[in-house]
Amino acid sequence: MSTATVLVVAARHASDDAIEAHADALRAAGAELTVVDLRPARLAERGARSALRAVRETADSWAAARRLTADHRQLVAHADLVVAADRTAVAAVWRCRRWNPRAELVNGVPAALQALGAR
Amino acid sequence: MTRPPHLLYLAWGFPPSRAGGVYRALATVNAFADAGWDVTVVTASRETFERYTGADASLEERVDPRVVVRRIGFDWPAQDTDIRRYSPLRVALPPVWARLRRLKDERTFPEPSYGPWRAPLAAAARAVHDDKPVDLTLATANPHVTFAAAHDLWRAAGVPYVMDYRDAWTLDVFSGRTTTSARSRVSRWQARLLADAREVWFVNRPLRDWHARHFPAVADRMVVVENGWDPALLPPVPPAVPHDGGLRFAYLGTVTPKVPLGELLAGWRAAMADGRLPAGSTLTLGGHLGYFAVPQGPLAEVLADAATDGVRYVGPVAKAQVADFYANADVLVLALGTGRYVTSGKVYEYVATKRPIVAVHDPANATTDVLADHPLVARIDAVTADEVARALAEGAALVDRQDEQTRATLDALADRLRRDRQLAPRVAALRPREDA
Repeated sequence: MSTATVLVVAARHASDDAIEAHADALRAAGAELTVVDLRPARLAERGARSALRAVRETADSWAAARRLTADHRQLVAHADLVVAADRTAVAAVWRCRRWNPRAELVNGVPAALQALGAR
Repeated sequence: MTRPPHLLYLAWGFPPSRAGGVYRALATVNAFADAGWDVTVVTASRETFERYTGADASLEERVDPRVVVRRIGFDWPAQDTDIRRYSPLRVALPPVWARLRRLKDERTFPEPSYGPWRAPLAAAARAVHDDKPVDLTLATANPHVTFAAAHDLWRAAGVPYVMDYRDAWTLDVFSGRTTTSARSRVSRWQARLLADAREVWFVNRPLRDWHARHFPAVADRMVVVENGWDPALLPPVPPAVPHDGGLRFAYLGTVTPKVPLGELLAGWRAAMADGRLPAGSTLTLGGHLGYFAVPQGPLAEVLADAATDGVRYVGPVAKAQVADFYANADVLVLALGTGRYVTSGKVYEYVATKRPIVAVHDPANATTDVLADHPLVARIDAVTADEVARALAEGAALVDRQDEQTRATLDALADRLRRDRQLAPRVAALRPREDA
């Protein structure tokens, strides 16, 4: 049986290819998948680990959470599994607990694959 | 009537954990039980391994039934993937949350994530001693918090303890640099724990010598207890059966970011492309991707990309299936991180299979010593794709070079590198004297 799954992507470094690879893996594991793309308009390389990058990622995560729309809420409300594809998407996924009290909210695609495998 | 000596074994990772160091832990407690000791293990709960490191249920059946295992809880918030459980601070300001978490972790012992385990572990150790007096504590690390708990019991009840370093604490085994200053909390803890230890074990000579140089007062108590292969876990692997088609290369082990996977795959592609390897040859990789239960995504993507070149990733291999995995290989590939202090548990199993080995690692790696007498090893001079390709071709040629003399040498080497041969002298030496 397929699992209604929402994959939330928010990192500015996430490429379309990477998102597609994640989506393929989740579908192969039994997800009926919808991708919610919250990436900023200007994409960029991730860059080296630094305090500046940490600050930027944190600010990006707040901005991504604010980009959730009413349509996104509808999607999430009917999901069984909501996945933060990257660290920047965690704040947006965390907000989803308001609209869906029963869905599993997980951090990372590997954790989502584990959750799907356990169903 | 004299009672059997009682060993308390402190380990975070223990079956059903599938982490690498577990095999040493398992063999150690079984060796002491075999030698007539009463053995009590204090370790983390089963759920810890199921959630965080991955579990191999078949391993738990390998613990000697005479060994008593007490499990205590272990909480690992940093590895928690359930976003519902995240606090508002963790979500809003992850770097601040991580920093505060680390400070909290290190309050009683300077080890991120594991520090808070010191109190429950020490309390459990004390409870074991109160139930049945302990003659010796053996603590294995990492995590190093087990050493602190052993030290706590020594201070409280005078129970001597052995520190088993499966890895280093203040030495980066890959770069060879020290990781802390001499006056840091970690360094002071290490010096204190070593000073009071009855014995200190290391898995290879370079690690032992480094510590002896830095802690000369303890040098005479520092010994090498090499890893080995476990006959109980690895039944005899039959010789490779002649077959049609290309050769079957195989790698088994945890694939971490330290493993030179990029060089291995590039070398493989080169050797296949220019015909140095027979057409139709395959490279099968088995094992976990990363140290934790959740696989590392980037590694999985690299392996998926190589599928068209005859590279196959088969995922984790349960210990009970390991002999079958090796049986389906003609040549084994030993890919390891760089560093003269780096050692491998898998190399001993590789030796036991008596198959040719392509050693894809820095020649200065401590594993080179383990294979020094192995007659069927193709070594590389440097970790580059060209060298890997050359060694793979050399490994392919070794398949046909298995005469009687070679087989006899391999038999002798495999026998010498059994795990019980490494542990037996220490188990005997640590037995309390009857007149003590």
